[in-house]
Amino acid sequence: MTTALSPVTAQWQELFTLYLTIGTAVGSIVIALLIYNIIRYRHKPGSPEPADAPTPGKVPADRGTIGAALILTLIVTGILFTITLGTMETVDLIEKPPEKGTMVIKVHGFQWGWKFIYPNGLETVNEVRVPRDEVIIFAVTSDDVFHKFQLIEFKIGVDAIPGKVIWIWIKPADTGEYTIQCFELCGVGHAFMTGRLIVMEPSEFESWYKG
Amino acid sequence: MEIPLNSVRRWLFTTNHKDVGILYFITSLYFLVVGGALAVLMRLQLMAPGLNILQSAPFNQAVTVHGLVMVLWFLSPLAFAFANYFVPLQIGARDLAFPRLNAMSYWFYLFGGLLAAIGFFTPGGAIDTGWTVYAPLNTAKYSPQLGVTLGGAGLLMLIASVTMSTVNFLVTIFRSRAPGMTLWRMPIYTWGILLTVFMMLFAFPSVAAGVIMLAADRLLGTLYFSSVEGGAILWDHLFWFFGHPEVYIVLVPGLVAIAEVLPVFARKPLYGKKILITALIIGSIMSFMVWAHHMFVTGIDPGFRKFMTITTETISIPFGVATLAFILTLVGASIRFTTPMLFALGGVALFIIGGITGVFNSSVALDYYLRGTYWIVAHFHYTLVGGATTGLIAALYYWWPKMTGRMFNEKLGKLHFIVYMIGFNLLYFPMHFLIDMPRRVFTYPAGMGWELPNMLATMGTIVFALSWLILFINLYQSLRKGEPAGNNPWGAWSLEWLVPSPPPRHNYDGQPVVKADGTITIQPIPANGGHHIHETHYSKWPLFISLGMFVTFLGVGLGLPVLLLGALILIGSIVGWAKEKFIAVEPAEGERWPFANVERVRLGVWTLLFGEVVLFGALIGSYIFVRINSATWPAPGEFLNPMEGAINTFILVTSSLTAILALAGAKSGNQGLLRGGLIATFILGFIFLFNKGREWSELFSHGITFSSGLPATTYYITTGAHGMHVAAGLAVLIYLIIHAFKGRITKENHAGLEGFDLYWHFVDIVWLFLFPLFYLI
Amino acid sequence: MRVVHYVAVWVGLVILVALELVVFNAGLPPAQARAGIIGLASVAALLVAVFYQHLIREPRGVALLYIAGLLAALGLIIGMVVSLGVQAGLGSF
Ligand code: HEM
Ligand SMILES: [Cu+2]
Ligand SMILES: [Cu+2]
Repeated sequence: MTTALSPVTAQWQELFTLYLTIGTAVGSIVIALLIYNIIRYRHKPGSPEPADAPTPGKVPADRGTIGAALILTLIVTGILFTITLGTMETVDLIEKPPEKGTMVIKVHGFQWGWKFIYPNGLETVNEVRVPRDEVIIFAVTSDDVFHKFQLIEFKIGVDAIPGKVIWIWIKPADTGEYTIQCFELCGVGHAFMTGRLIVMEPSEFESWYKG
Repeated sequence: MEIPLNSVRRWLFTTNHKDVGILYFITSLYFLVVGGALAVLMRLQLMAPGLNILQSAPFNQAVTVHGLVMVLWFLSPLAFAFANYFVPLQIGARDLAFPRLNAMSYWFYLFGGLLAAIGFFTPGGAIDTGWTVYAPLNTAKYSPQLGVTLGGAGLLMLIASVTMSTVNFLVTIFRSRAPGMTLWRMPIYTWGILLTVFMMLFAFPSVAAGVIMLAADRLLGTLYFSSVEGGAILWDHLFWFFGHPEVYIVLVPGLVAIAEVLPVFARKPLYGKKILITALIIGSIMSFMVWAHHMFVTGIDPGFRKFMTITTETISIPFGVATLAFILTLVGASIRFTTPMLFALGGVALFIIGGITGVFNSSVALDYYLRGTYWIVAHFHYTLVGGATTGLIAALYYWWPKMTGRMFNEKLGKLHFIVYMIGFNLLYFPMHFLIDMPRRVFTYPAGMGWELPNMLATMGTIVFALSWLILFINLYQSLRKGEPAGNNPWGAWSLEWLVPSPPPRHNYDGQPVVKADGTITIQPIPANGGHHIHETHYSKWPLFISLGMFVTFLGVGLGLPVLLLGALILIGSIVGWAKEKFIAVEPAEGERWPFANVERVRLGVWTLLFGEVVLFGALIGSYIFVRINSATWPAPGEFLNPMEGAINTFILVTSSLTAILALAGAKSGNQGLLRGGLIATFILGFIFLFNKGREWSELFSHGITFSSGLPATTYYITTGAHGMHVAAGLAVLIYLIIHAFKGRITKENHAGLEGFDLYWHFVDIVWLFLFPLFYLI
Repeated sequence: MRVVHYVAVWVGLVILVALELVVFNAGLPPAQARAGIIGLASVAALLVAVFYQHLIREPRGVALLYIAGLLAALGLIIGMVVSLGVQAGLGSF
């Protein structure tokens, strides 16, 4: 697992791990229960038929009660809603960047690449440079068809839709090169609709941005 | 028409539910092979980074046709192969309520599939937009090739097929149950099919509206999906309002197949049958309230998204309950590990895994990233293949002896199971680890850590494909030299096991009856009272009508002569159908709650109309959507004349009066009122259409065409769809008028007219809304 | 139902549609005019369904399924409209 690249990334990883833990536990228990029953109640030579075994030409008797239904439902509901609690919080985090000085970079998906427009009008294609440790907002839209702008290492992405602008934000903790890729089928060039996110030291970025 | 049983014509012209079931069975397996071959090609291409087996364009076609074919032409139709064969048997009926409609439904399904696949042989190739056909990639600007139009035409034929099936199964299950076969006593598979067709009834019209609008965009130049006010989000709504119920439409038959098989081999009754049914009912209803979880990251309103998150979490509850009911069924059992039982148990296990990954996706926070990744691919293959398909394989082995009269080889069956489980998990489990890899890419770079899972998945594909080969060999051998099966090889309780394998054409030599204590007997039909029944089992018109439709759609691509030829075949065979004397026998008595007094044709038309409500709802909804989403919109009266609309409204309302008077005339034996009413209705309907035509041509002469902005687009297409309904009504009217003048519509015999009346009033109701929506506000 | 009843319903329908035109021309504020007109249209549609389609005589199951279809359609329409809402989350930027 990568170390947290950005607050949202950390939160996502945490949440995913939580789901994975509970999901694996629940899945294992249920499948274990299934296997246990299969083995325990297998047919053994000479063992008699259950008293209420289905008989040809007779509608079987009912089995199970309303009380049982309630218990079943409660079990499932309980499990489900325990794991949802974490969710809403993270959504808020994804959608509400910290308020301080933010740079909004417009992202235009097109067949097949990404165009980035900085606040000062600077435009780049398939490569976007940002300063480390600062909140960057990507305002994502599309010039033609439906794409999805995804920052793989940051575990965040959002749909790029013509006529709509959707925001996501990151606050990169480390310098380096990261992968941008389109995650929605958009035509023959889809597989190659990739780009690079380059995180720079703020000072380096500053001189690049001005220059 | 009598036809020897071993002739080809039997299979072309049959209307018997068991024959049609077998046709569905074979065809769905054929489409499985088609979809499977495409999948193997894709997996070979993805085996390692940078391969060149399937280039980008063919890969996109393969991935699209694979998705469409597997969901719509393999999985659902396989479920309906069994539904066709066994629902009438399980409820003690002699056939479906409308046998010719059933045959036609099959042919529409087959020709629809051919239309979609024919695209491979056209210049631009087959449809390549992904099975979700997202806008605006689906528009002529970005996908001009014929293959996309053909794919849309194929979808339309499939939707028509599904609609016919829906009407047929609902009427059959509600009208043709044997005495004593109450709803609660129905076998669980029939229950599942009942819920499935209910979901189909309300889900498919939404995508039908979407495809109609898409066709208009592509062929007439309207702007639904090429404008940003409609576009991607509009399609998303129309598609997923269908799409989510659709995944349950595909899933539920698989689950109930498991529920049908488990108790037989566990030798214990299904645990909590009523609980399970209740859970499935709740799940089916809720499946219409979760569609936006496919739109979590499209920037929709957060409050709406929260609502859909909660409903998505909630909908897992019924399916969790179902899973636990399956497990509890085993408690106290004496399990026989036959092949069908192994697949049923395996299906439960795989479905658990797919259900759990679904819960991940329902978290908006996680879905921001998960959407569009291979994780999603893993999720839905565990549910659709692991759960649904595995369940249907259980059903296949379970019912095969009944359908063919022969047993299969148990050893080969068990081998199939083992290879299947290994192949499946090797194929799909590694995809969970491709959580960083996008779906639907034809290649990927090395060094991202994606090599191993991809390699494993491709190896799994080969193993998985082999497992199907074992199945086919087993079936082939069984047909050639399988042991005779006898009536009831498994010791099952339900009705189909009381008759020979395969059952005789009319199913029962007598009338099945379920007594109060649950005992099922087949009572001889009294020779004196009951006249001898002679149902018809053949008709050539279902095939010819479908062929006409197929050629007509081909003509859209190939040009006017072909189109005219198609229309000619279509009209000729509709007339042939109308004139044919076809006898379908409804049981004289039986369980019909809650539709005891709703006669067969009337119930059929009602059912159709319930779906039509959603069709027009989707069209009107699209109009409202683009209108709210548009910065400006012409004020009322600005480009349409309210007076003209009002006059047409009066005309249509009056035609409803004349139609109801004609019916009143028929019921009271007043032939004058009947004939006069029908003719007046025809004239008024005709004037309505004439006025519409004038209005359109006037608009056109002012330069307001299909592509003159969304107000024009929505007006033309919505009222155009309504106008087509009026025109179809007029066609039926001609038929009714001829019958009325031949004196065939009488006090006792006016079911057709009654059905027409319902339809005509519905068309009137729709206009009562369209008029104010387009002319006054 | 007798012929006079059907004619009476027709008269009702004609009046309702005429009233829609009256509301349309009354110069009400748009929201009120819309509500009034759609309300009148709904009453007219209800009349047709109840008396011409004979919902009044059909078993309750038919009406229930009709309503189910209507709810599905309304659910779709409302969902579509509501989803337009405001831009997710960061709309203030
Ligand atoms: C029960 C059987 C299920 C079936 C047959 C099924 C099927 C599918 C399919 C086919 C897709 C992908 C559609 C596409 O994009 O092409 C999908 C996505 C999804 N499923 Fe399921 N699913 C099932 C269960 C669940 C459950 C139990 C949940 C939630 C608790 C769930 C939640 C989701 C979500 C949220 C998505 C959208 C993910 C995304 O594309 O971002 N599913 N499902
Ligand atoms: Cu793309
Ligand atoms: Cu869904």
